[in-house]
This record gives sequence, C-alpha cells and structure tokens, in this order.
Amino acid sequence: MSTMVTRKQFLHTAAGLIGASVLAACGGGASTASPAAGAAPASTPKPATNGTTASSSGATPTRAPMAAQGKGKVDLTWEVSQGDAWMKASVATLPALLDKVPAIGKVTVEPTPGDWENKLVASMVAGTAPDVFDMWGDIIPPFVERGQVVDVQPLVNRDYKAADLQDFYDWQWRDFVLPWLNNIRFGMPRYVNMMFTWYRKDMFDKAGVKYPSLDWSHVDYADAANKLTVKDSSGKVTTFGLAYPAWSWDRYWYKPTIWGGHTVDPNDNTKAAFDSEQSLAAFEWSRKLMWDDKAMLPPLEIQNQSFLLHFPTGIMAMAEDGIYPFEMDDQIQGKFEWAYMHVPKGPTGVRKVLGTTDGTAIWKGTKAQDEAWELQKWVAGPDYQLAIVQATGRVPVRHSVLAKWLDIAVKTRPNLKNANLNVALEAMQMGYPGAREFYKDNNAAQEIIVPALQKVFVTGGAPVTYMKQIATQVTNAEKNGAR
Amino acid sequence: MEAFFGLLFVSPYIIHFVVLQAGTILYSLFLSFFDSDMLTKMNFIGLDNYRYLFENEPLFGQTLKVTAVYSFVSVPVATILSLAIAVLLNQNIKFQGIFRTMYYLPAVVSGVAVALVWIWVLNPDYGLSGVVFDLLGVQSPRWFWSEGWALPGLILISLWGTGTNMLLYLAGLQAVPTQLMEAARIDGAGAARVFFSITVPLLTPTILFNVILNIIGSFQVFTSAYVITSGGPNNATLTMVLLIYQKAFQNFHFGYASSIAWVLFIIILFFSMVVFRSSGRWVYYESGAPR
Repeated sequence: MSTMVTRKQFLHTAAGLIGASVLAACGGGASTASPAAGAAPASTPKPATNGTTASSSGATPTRAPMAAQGKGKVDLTWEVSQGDAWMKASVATLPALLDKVPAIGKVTVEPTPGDWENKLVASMVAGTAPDVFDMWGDIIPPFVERGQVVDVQPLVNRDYKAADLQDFYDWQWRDFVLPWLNNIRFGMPRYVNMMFTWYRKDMFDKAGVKYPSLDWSHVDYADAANKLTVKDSSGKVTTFGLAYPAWSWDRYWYKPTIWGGHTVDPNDNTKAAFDSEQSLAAFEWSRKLMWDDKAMLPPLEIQNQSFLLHFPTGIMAMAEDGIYPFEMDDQIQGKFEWAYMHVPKGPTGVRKVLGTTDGTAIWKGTKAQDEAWELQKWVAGPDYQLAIVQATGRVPVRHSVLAKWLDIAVKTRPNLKNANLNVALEAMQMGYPGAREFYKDNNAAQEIIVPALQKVFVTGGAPVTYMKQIATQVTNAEKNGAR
Repeated sequence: MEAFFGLLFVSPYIIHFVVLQAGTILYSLFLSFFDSDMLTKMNFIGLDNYRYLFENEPLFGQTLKVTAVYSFVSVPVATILSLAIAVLLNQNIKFQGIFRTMYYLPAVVSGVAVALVWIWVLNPDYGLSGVVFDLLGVQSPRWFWSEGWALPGLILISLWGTGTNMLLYLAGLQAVPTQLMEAARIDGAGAARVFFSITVPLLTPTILFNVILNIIGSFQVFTSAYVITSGGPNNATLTMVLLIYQKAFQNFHFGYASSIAWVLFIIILFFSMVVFRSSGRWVYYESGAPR
C-alpha cells in the first residue's frame, strides 16, 4: 500500500536528513562518498546511431546560445535541437516576432546539449527548464503524462481559424494529439521529415536496373537490391543494394503496417501485435535481405552512423531514410546523379512511412505562457517556415510554403534539379506518412523490443519468430506495469 | 582565532561534501523507498522497489552477470598487466621517460574519446582488429556487433587505461629497498625469485590499494558501455549503472533507480570487504603486522 507524502512533509524530511548529515560530518568520522549512490553521469553524449531519432539533430554541446533582443520585459528561452544553420536562421527571424509582440524582451535560442532529453528532465525537476523546447511525438509522451507540457488545443481554438488550420498537413496536425493522454495537443509543428527511398542513378545504370517508380512493390524493391549488390573477388560485399534501419526503434514499425499487421493492437495499447503472420512476414523481408541475400546493409558496415554520411561512398545503392536535400547536396556535391522516390507499397497495397511530428512544446512551468505561445505560433507560421526553407532546405509544415519550397530548393541548389523533390509534395497530397503506433508505456516496450531487434537484425542471431516471445514479454510488461 | 580560520578555510570542502555528496547520497537512499518520478509523485512504498528488483526485474540477472564478468576479468588482468608494464618501465632503458609518458597517456584521455577511438580500432572490417586478425589468417571477431564478443571488447578497452595503476606500481617499485634485492642476489636468488620473494611482497600494499579501486571502478563501468553499445547488442553489455541510468532518466523511475544504486553499493562494499578481510593474509607491511 502506498502513502502519499505532501510536498511540505517531503521538504521537512529532506531538510532533516541533510541536517543530520551536516551533524554527522562535523562530528568527525565522515566517510568518503559512496561510489554507488550517485546516478550515472549525465553529460556523456549519446552515440551516433542511425535512425534512432526521427529528428536528426545536428546539435553539439559546445555551441553557444544566441539571442534576439526586444523592448519588452518578458524573456524567453527556446531550446533548439537543430544545427547551426537552423539556429542562425531562427535568430534572424526573431526581430519580426519581437516587433509583433512588444511584451517579449529577449529570446535566447539555446542549442540542445548532449544527452539533452535527460538534462531536460533534470531542468524540469529543478524548475529551470526552457520556456519552449523542440520535441516530437516519439519522446513527448512521458513529459505529457507528467504534466510538464502545455496542452495547446485551447490556445489553437482561441487563435486559429479553420482556414489557417487547413494550411497544415492533415496527418501531421492529427498526430500532434495524443489520444491516450486525454487528447492533449502537445505542441505546434516546426518541420516535417518523411521517409523516402534515395537511389543512385549511376549504380542503377551500371547494374542495368530500371529506376524506381511509383508503382514499385516490395518484391521489385528486394529484386533491385539484389541486382545492385556488388561483391569483390573474395565474395565480400562492396556495395549493398539497399540500406534500411530495420533495427531502429522509430523505423521498424511501418513495414509490419504495410504488410497488413500492427506493432500495437489498435484496440488495446497494452497489447503487442507484432507477432502476427503479417508482421513477421514484414520482418522476414528485411532479415532475409540483410542476412541471407546480403543485399541490405548491416549497421556494422557504417558503424551505425548516418546513411547520409555514407551514401556518397558507394557502400549503398539505395537508402530508405528522411529527406535532407541541402545536406545531401553538401555531401554529394554533384559527383553523381541521384534522386528520391516514394517507398514502395506493401503487399496489401498500403503505403506508409514514418512522418515526423517535429514541433515545439511549451513547458508547463513557464512564467510566460502567453509569450511562449506567441513564439510557438511564430515558429509554425509562414514567415519563419520560409526562412527555414531558405536556410536549410528542410520541408516546411505548411502547404502554402511547401509550394515555394521546391522552387527555392532547386534555385538555391541547382544540383537538386533532377533529385525528384516532387516526392514531398506528392506525399503530402497522398497523406501516407504518419506517426508510429504507441504503447501505453512506450519506454517499457522500447526496453524490450530494441534488444530483440538487435538480435534479429544487428547480430543476425535469431529468426523473426523470436519476435513472438518478445511480443508476449511486451504485453506482460504493459499489462503488469514495468518499472 | 586560529581554529576559526582553520574551519573557515576547510568550510568550502565541508559544505561541498555535506550538501553535494553526503546529502545527495542520503537523499538517494531516502528516494529508494518511494515510487517517484521526481516531477509528479512521491509515494512511500517501503521496500517495494527492492522487492521488485529481486523478484520481477527481468534485466537484473543480466546486468549482474555482465557487471560481474566485467569486474572479475578486468580487475585481475589489469592488475597483472599494469604491474608487468611497471616492472618493464622500471628498468634502466633508453627513452624511459617517453615510454612512461606513452603508457600513462591513455589514463588522461576522456573516456568518451577513448570509446570513439576503440569503436574504429575494433571494427572487424576496417579497423586495426581486422588487419591484425587478417595477418594471423583468422577472421576478426565482430566485437560490438556480436553478443558473445561485445563484453570482451569493453574489457579490452578498460585494459588500455591501466596507466594510473602502472604509475602507482612504478612508485611502489622505486620504494623497494635495493639492499634487500642485492642481499637476495648475493644469497643466490635468481631474478624470478627476487621478484616473487622480495618485490611482490613489498608491493602488496600498493596492489591492495589498486585492487580495491579497480573493483569499485569496474562495478561502476558506464561510459564505454553507454557510448559504444548503449548496453547492446541484445543487452550483452548492459551494466548495472547503465540500468540505473535507463530506469531513472529514460523511464522516469527515480526511486527504483536509487534502489538499484544502493544494491550496487552493497555489492561493491561486499567485495571490497572480502578483499580487505583477506589482506591480512597476503599484504605485507614493513612496519609490522598488517593493518
């Protein structure tokens, strides 16, 4: 049986304990610090992994905050999880916001530190969290569950007209709401990423394989991957036909969906559903291609680094990953012809990929909620979106800006002319990207599923039927409540 | 007045110790009896976190195994290796200073940097490991990409940083009275006999110190496991501290994570006590009976 302790009781007890330790230390006989009592170091940066986060942050802990100064009295802090170009463009647009909202004095734009999710938790406990922070659907639920995020739905209802809302993409706007957490809208869109197939035309030409098309199936996809795979005289693969992070928590789930299965039971978010025949068949498609055919790149080959970094090296002919036109142009520098294509439909005729809910959220503990909301609206607004398109080439969150995005991208980077950037516009019209299926306790599920995906896809040490017992474990953990 | 200034000057450390060390240590013990996410709830649950850890935690056995294997392999091997290096560097050879610096250098490099370098060194295809095993005509292990080899990989990395141990042994070796060794040689003892009968016994206080510190450090291994493998593949390198970190900062179970931290503390205390208790039998103090 649990007993509730009030904040006051808790503070009294804590003060008593600290007082006792003061007396103990002053009275001599103080021992050295326990080696085990401290939590693990929180400053270690996370390893660079491919496909582990939907929002590919380029932030490093060493970059300095930047600020825009206004005339008002309310200062805001905004934590941005993107690279330098994004931060500079953000700061450059802020004077217009400061003119529009005179109450805001200064907006400090801070780069996310290394290990930022954990530091965000610590800063919330300490009461020093940023007023506004970048966030996305995969990692927001625990923060929402603990009341740390402002539900912006009432603010949207107050400030937006129906016509304004139609400018956002239906699927992304929908996925900012967490139905199992009282339908809270956790934030506003900041940018969008979607998975596409990148392919190297030079390698397709050399292998005599037809370029991917809209009507491609996963059978064609696997067939092309096999034909594009190149081995040296010793049998070692020098070019893998395809790279797709099947082992990744945020990417593994959509293949089962297009095979007609699920990862989470649609009617019960405490039940794992990836043990169905359809889901297992989807896993098998990837496993076979990777371990039997050796036509799909295992993470070892690129040290789990980003596909973007290795695409120009020739280690892969196709990659299924997000859309980063300027970054790809920077990497490739016109050395070969390449393009984007939609990821093929599954055997059921359904097309689905991860479409991100990269957005901003307002910390519930902010002392300036109104001003934070103004900043959030600004970020989701057309002026800011246009500035980000010009600076980074990333896909904007509004139809009205998306129409300009293609022209801007191609004019700024002529190398992108034949890259088929149209896929982004088509994907928005088709509306197939979207967020994952969520468990009630996503973290508990992740703790069990990720090691299993590693066993099947990273080490090649298990058949996909192994996922059946993992599904049972996940369901047990969800139903019984794991710690 | 002198006492007042004395206290004043040591007060920064006392405050630091009491508030930032003893205070937080006690707070974590307190927290271990609560179901707490540090944000919204602070429910007293007595020993339930400990009960859950021993009865229901599916990863506890695995983390215990990983941490124990890491410690029981890395501590003895590191002890022997660093002592051997110290003995070699204690010889009167050319460029002695350069060699000593080279062997000590890894100990001052950041753990994260070391980890990142070793990821490449142990890449079976493109790393030094691949080259060495190719020369031997054997296929390189897949190291961090294999459940069986990931932990040995981490142990190997830990051995690279034995510079601090080596330095302490070197200091200990230089304190060994030369007249004892000369007397032994005059009595007909060979190099091995001198080493095992004179040098090693006189080094045992240093060995005890190093072993205790290594036990404590090895049970707390975190950085390399976090940076290189994040506990994978398939939890093959999930150490206890990594589990603490996951439970606290990823799953928001701060009370539960504190209970794991205290269980780890008890484990470290136990093994440290075993070594201390046994030291009466194998540690030699010149000044008299073992203390």
